Amino acid sequence: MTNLTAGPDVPVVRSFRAHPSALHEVRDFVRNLVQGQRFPTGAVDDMVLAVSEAAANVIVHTNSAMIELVARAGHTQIEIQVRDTGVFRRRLPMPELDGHGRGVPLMMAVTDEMDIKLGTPHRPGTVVRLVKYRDP
Amino acid sequence: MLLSIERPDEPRVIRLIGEIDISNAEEVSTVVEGDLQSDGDLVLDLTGLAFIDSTGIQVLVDSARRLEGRGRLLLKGAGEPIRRVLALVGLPLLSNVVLE
Repeated sequence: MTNLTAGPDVPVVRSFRAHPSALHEVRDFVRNLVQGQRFPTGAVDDMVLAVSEAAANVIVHTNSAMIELVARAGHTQIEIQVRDTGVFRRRLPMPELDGHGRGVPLMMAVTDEMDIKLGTPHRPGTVVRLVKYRDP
Repeated sequence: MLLSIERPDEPRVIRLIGEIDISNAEEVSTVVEGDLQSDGDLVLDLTGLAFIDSTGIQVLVDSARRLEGRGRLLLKGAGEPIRRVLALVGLPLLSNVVLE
């Protein structure tokens, strides 16, 4: 079992296959990690959801083969970056067509900080940064 | 199995046990499709549902919309984390959705 004591300067890094069947593993990993950092249940559930959504976006919207999670925990917060190696296929969200329109607003609603750096052909690799404070 | 979809003896009741995400949301959609084609309330027993993501929520939203004017979508037994997410996206605000 990976040592899941993430520190702010000692990130925990774990890669997953960018396949729908891997999302369950991603969630279990995040749950163990955030619980291990003694966050309350609600915060744990929020991070599990946020990371699952970000990982799902990698699978659906990019051609990346892998999803990499980089977790840093500190006294005041936990940060998980969801990274991929692909290029984000930019398009307007069409929730009626594919039902994925709610993912980003949901991530925003359940985290305290969120930012997205989209990969481009010249600089591939989208990074979604998700932060949950210990004290909301 | 990440998700079990069960039909108890009562008609128009579907039990969802486990987790719903992009890997199986379409399966849920396929299972409820039969009931959506006829009129009447549809009960989704969410007692055993541990996780639902935005694609799963979309299936619930689509189901409610399909039933509009013909029946209600009754969501029963959802635990606190699920209730919170559903409330966050405004699902209970739909006129024919009842979150019990």
